[in-house]
Order: sequence, then C-alpha cells, then structure tokens
Amino acid sequence: MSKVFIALLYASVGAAAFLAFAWPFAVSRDQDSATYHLIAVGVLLSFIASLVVLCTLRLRASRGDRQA
Amino acid sequence: MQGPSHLMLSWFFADASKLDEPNDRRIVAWSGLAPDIDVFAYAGAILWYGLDKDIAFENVWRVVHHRYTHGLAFVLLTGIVAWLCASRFEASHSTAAMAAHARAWRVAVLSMLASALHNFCDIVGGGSTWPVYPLWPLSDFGWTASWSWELSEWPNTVILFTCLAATMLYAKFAGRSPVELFGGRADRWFVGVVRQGSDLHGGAASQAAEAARKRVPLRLIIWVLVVLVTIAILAPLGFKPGS
Repeated sequence: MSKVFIALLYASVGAAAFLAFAWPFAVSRDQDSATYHLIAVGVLLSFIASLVVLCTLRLRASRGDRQA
Repeated sequence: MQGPSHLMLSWFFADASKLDEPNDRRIVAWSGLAPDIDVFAYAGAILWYGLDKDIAFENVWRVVHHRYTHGLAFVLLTGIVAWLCASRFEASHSTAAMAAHARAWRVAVLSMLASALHNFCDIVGGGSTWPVYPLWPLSDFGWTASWSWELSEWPNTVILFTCLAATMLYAKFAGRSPVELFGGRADRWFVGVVRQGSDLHGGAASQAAEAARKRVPLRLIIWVLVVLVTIAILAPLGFKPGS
C-alpha cells in the first residue's frame, strides 16, 4: 500500500511542478481558468492526502520498532 | 503559504520519502523554504532605509520578492547546493561510496521537488499579487492565479495548525520532529518535553523526558511559545477567521 501512496505523492509533486512552471507556456496563460483552478486544488489535495497517509505509516512503523 | 508551513511540509515530505538520516531531511526541508531567502533583502532594506518599512517595501520588497528565487533557475540552484551538502555529509559518514553517491543524488532531486512545491504552494496560497517567475532570467513573465488564497485566509491557517499538530504527534510517537531542523539537541529536548508523562519513550529520549519531568512548567512554556509564534505569524497578515 505504501508504494501506491509514494507513487501518488511523487505524481502530485511532479504535477505541482508542471502547474507552477510549464502550464502557462504549454497550456494556457489564462489566470482565471476554471480548469487550472480545479486541477491545482486537486493536486494540492492529493499531495496532502498522500502525505498524511505516508506519515501515518511512518509513525506506526516507528512505534512498532520501539515496542519490538 | 506561510514560511513555517513551507518548512514543515517539506520536512514531512522528506520523512514520507523515507529519508532516515536527519541531515538528509534537513537538507530537503531547508530547500523547501529556500525560495523565501529573498526576505533577507527586505530585512537589509529596512535597515538601509533607517527602519522605514514603507519605503523598504516599495523600493525593495515589491520589486524583489519572488522575482529571483521563485523559478526554475533557483530550483536547479537548490538542487546543486543540496547535492554538495549531501555529498559532503556522505563522504564523511559513509563507507559505501556508490550508495552514498546515489543517496546524495536522491537528496538533491527531493530538494528540487520541495523547492518546486514551494512555488506551486505560493501560486495556490500566496495571493494573486505575488506571481512566480518560472523562466527568470530568460523571461520576466510572472505567473499567478486570480483565485489564489491570501496568506491570511483560513486554508493557510488550517495548513499551519495541522503542521504544528503533526509536529507534536511526530515528537510523541516517532521520537523525532521538524524541530530537528534547528539541531539534534533541540529536537531531543522537544521530544522529551512532549513525551513528558508518557510511557512510550525509551533510550536517550527517556532521559530527556525524565529531565523535563523535573521542570513541570516547560510544557506550558512550549504551548505558550507555539501560540505566540502563531500569533506573530498571523497578526501582521491581518488574520480574518471569517474570510
């Protein structure tokens, strides 16, 4: 399960980089674009969600190591 | 997004990427804050203009902020510096040269991603008046979104408080936290204070917890400091809970 969320994390960070640096040159410079708004918020939410899951897994692993 | 949020998010990103060495996490986390290094220009300008913040803002901050450090060129520079720092650390601590080399590259790539993420977070949550400059110095084109949240709006506040809460949880349950960005001793002290009265700890953290237990007001001081720092961050932004 961890691998899936790691993939999601890196995909969302990659998408974030694209949205920050390449979108205005590759897609559109419309600052009011609803598409950009939707995708950007989606990317941010998927980044936060995958970060929360992965950090929770790391916390559980740390607790397990200590209790073992 | 506020500076502390950038810093803590980058640390959690480094930890979620399974970087087990504190120094590696530090490099990635500081890289995530690095684009805001231009704040030193503003601080210098305030001194230069005899503590007149308005003139410093008009003449320096309005011109400088984001222009030189929020773009691809700075992301690449961050990667180079991160690689140099990681290589220096690895060379003195690791015996397997190849593995150390690969790890330095991994830290450099993660640092660049953290720096790029900073730019994205500023587009989404930095306000529409502060564009990023993706291709500076090749192009002066500034990119922002008209719907971008202002710094004082609730989504940024929620992210900041969530990061602070996660810092406490990490200290309590993992025995490490973003406080390690300010040194291993600071983190051990913080972990000891947070774990005060808990039976989850062991080893060095246990000794720190014992020491902390003898100084009961410490926990209270930590919480007061957290509240004061939060107020110090939000107050100048004109925080509007209802906005």
